[in-house]
Amino acid sequence: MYLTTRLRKNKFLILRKWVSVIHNFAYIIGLFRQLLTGVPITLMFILISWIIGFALSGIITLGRLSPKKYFSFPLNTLVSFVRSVPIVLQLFLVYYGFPVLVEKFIGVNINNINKMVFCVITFSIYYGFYLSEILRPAYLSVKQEQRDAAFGLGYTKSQANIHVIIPQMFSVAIPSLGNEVINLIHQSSILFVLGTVDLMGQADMIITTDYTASPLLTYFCAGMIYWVITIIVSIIIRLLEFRIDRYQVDDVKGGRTI
Amino acid sequence: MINISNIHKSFGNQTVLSGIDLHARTGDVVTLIGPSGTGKTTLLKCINLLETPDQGEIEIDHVKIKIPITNTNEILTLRRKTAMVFQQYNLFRNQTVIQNIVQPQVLVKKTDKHTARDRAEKFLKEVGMQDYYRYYPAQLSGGQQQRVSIARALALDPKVILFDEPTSALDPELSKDVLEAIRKVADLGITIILATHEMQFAEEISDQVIFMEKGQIVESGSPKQIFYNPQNDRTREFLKNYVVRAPRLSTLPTENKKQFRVV
Amino acid sequence: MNSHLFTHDFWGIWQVVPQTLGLSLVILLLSVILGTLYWKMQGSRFRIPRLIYQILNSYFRGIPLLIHLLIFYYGIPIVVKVVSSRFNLGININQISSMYAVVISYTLYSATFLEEIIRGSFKSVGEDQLEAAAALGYTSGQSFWAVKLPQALSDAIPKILNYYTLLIRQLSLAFLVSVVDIFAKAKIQSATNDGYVEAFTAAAIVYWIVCIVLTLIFSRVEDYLRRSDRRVLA
Repeated sequence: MYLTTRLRKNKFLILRKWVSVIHNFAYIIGLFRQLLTGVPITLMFILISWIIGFALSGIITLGRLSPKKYFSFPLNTLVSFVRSVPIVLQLFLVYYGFPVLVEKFIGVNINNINKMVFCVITFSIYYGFYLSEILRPAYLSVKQEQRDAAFGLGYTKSQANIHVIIPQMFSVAIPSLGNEVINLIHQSSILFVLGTVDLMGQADMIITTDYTASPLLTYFCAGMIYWVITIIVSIIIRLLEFRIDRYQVDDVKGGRTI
Repeated sequence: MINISNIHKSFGNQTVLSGIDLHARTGDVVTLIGPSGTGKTTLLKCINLLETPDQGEIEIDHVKIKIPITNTNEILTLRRKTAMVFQQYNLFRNQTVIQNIVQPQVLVKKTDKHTARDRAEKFLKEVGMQDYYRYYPAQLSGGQQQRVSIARALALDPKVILFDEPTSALDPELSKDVLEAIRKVADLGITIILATHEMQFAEEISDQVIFMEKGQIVESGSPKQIFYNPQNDRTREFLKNYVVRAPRLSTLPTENKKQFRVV
Repeated sequence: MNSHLFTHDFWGIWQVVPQTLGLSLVILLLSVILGTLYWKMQGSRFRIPRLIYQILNSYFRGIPLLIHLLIFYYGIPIVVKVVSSRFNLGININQISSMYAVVISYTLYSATFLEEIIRGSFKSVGEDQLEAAAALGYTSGQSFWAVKLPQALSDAIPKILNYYTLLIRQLSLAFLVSVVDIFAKAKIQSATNDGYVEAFTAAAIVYWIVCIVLTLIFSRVEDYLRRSDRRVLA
């Protein structure tokens, strides 16, 4: 009698344990599901900010390389500013300051536009200036000899830039640019402070709306998703690097480099 | 064909060239010799205006430029009469051997790609580099790179090729092939201005040898005059280290060496 | 923009500069120590330390710093609670400062980057230098202390100092766990005075000044350390 009850009790316990495991498993699946709804927004945001920021950085680099002081000086000052101030502060500056500026100078109230617009503006400007700090040294790192050769053969300035210097500049810049893409992915996690619905925003929403949710587990799961994204992007960058860098081979024939 | 007069150039307060005159006829091989840091490279770079002289006049194949330059388009016109072979080869690192030779033709001469490619192959064969057309410069030895760079210059069909110490970054073994390639260029009848430390080669190939020192021309003349009968003390001093071996005297090529040129 | 409010915010924010710099410095020093350890693990002859290093490296670099911070913020009390009840330590988890979360997460995160700096600097010391030392009869210890380490340090220190300015900026995330740095102070000021633009502009300018001053000092240090590389121009 005692034995059977004990057995039954034991069976019940095992059952309950399994139910709880399945329950937890289902819970985590559900958690991931909700978090994943934020991923397309995060990816979209990264893509748009990168494209605009990169285009901007090309123009800014061009301006900074200009021998004319009135081009390069203000740009250099802005680069120093953007590099000194944390991105989250820049985000708040744009979020609160931009509508005030627009209202004052154009007279349009933009307080109600999508928060993502402010995020894209902030990150595009930030990366516009930030990446020029990679592109400019890369451009300058192309040896004078290469320019001499191009001009010596009768290339125009733009021909030399397009066919010789810029391709070489990219092979120098690509690894750093790759790092910055990953940086951008990670920095985009700060957007949630404005209440966006990206990956981190979803995590934040789960925690604030459902207080049975464990913040630790939720953030950890969000972290896992960021980790996977980072790994996939790194692989893509590695492949790209390999393609662009194929001429940087060492002297296999033992030629002398002086 | 080439008339250069009164070139002055200084960097800051350091005078590099003070009043250089140089004349060459079509097909001439002019050699610049002299100690290092004497302004040979700067002179070559002034000829195709990679460096802008402070003063002077340059005329190549009826294109005349007087300093100060008023029309910057003329710089390009003048440069396109010339081609340059550099001490450090300066092949475009991001392009294969064949691209290095095709692209300048397409961009500068507006040759169509097929013709450019055929020409590239022809000139690569000329310098003995036809097997390497898919290599990147970094995969080649210095001597091989320099030969490709000569082919690149030839492909542009220039009136004059400027050689800036083409063998001084190479060991003797590798220079041999490069010198052979330069000799071929001379045989093609292209005007050459060559800065070099290879005295024996200069003696063999030149029509005119110019001895420069401290930014000035000390002495110029035929190789025979310069190497065997220098008038100036400095020239004698400089050439003291270049001992003319006795057996060579008999086989000394003279002005008539042009007779075996294939023009 | 209210200029009176701005000056008020500016001086208010200026007060927290020392603690921001101090906290960053603590994190930097701990990261250098941990980074050195990582470097040793990375170059270890054994598989296990190398594997552990690789996993840690990928984990800490793969996930945003922000999430590390939050994970430690919520995780530390749980771990402490378990440990405390197991060993009857009687620690009140409500009294654990969130400063620990900041220091631990930032240190673990930064150490992976410092490891990269340290590894690169030691690699930058050419084989030729060590060969020269060996040829002169130095023992391996002598050649490490007299040749390798000084050269590696003069390469690493500017980079580490540069990382310090980055840490100061990264510390701005600490407001999420209510640790007060320059940015967090600005956020508090903006809420109490209801002047967002003023407070954030003031904070931005404080950051800018701090960065410019530090960069100037650090470039002096760098010039000094790299004096042997300088070529005398003729």
